[in-house]
Amino acid sequence: MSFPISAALLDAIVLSVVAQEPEGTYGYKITQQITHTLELSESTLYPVLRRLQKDQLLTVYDAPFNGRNRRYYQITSAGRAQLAAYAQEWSRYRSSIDTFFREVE
Amino acid sequence: MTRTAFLAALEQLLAPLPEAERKDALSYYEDYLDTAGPENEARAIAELGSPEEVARKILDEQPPADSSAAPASPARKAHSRWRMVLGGGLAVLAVLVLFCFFFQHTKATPVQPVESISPASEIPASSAETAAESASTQPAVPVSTPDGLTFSLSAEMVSDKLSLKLDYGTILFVVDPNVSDITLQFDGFRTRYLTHSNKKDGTAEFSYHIPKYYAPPDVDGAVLTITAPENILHEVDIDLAMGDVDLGTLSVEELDLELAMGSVSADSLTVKDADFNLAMGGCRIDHLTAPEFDAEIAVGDCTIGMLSGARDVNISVITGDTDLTLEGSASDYTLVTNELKGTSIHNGKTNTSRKISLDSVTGDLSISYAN
Repeated sequence: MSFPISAALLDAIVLSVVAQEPEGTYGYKITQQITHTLELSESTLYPVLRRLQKDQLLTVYDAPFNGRNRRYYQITSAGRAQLAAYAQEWSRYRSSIDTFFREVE
Repeated sequence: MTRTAFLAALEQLLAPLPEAERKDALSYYEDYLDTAGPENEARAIAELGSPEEVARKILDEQPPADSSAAPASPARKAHSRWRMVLGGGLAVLAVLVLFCFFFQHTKATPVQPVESISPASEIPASSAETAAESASTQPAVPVSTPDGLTFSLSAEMVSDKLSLKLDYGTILFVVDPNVSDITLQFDGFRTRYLTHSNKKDGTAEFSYHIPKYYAPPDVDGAVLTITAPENILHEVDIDLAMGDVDLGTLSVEELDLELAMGSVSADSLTVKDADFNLAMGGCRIDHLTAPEFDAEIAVGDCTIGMLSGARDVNISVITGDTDLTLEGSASDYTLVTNELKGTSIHNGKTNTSRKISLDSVTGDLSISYAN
């Protein structure tokens, strides 16, 4: 059993993974990092990255790697602000949900 | 599935997307598989899932059809391809025309066979339903019929302009005094590519653009029948790449027709201002009542059984015959004809302001008068 991941939560997760690499990171690596921890289809992430890019929370640049261009994603300052808001919201949400489980543990 | 097959399938499935979006997605997945490396390629493709699944996730993210700022859609490109092919052919004709006029040292009327490729602003909706939901004002909700879709629009909904931008199909106008609404019945179209929106400027627009990957369509099988009460349509704009238009007994203030491959016919057309631009196909109107009428025909005949109320009429035919009957007598008009053999001016009554200008390059010109 698993809990569904909402679009906002997925945005927050992707933003935090990209934020860990100040120089930028790329699609394959982001996908591997997230699917390593979460049960998520690999093809879910491109639309998320594209949306975050359009919302200017991420920027994209191409840099040569092994004789070809690789596309790198980098978080913007707006992205960092959004990520901070998500993190705060998440911690509030988690503690409110946790109140229901206090007795269980 | 190989990398090549995966990417090819994905590209095809993303055909409904604007080109920039499609390219972005494809380059992402190319990059993704490059990074995975040849040794992990098969596993990476298997993990991504079928191309259908990958494409569906991308298509689901797309903004609805009313984002007019979106770049050119592939379907529009398919439409433009017609233009390019025809444009090429017409350029040859245009050169011929200019050459002929040049040789005669006459004033050549610039020939404008088909407008150049226009910047596209439409983006195809994934279905007629989504287009209906996303339009700026409340558009009509289509009703499914066994052969297609029917839209019913009240008079206010088409108050300013009815605009049709179709890749192919036959368009029939039917005047029915017993109805109060305007009905557009689309039969035999792929309704998935049919979109409708009511624009802020009062235009009710229907567009039908198929992705370029589609096999040649059944042009004859697609019929749009527009049933309207008398005198309800103000302005009608038709941009049709393949197919004929039958105007029936239409009465409208402004009419703009642009047909790449197809002809126009009418039993009786009453219009204040009409503009026809026909690349391949003629024009036959039994009775035309029009103060202002402009027709540019590249390949096709122009036959007007009776032209009434003409004040400023220009008919230009490159390859085809012109057969025109004018109301009244020769003395009512200033008639200017431009033919291969030269320009003739027949002045009617002094100071007549009724001007008829006919250009004919390779075809017969026949003018008669009747009351």
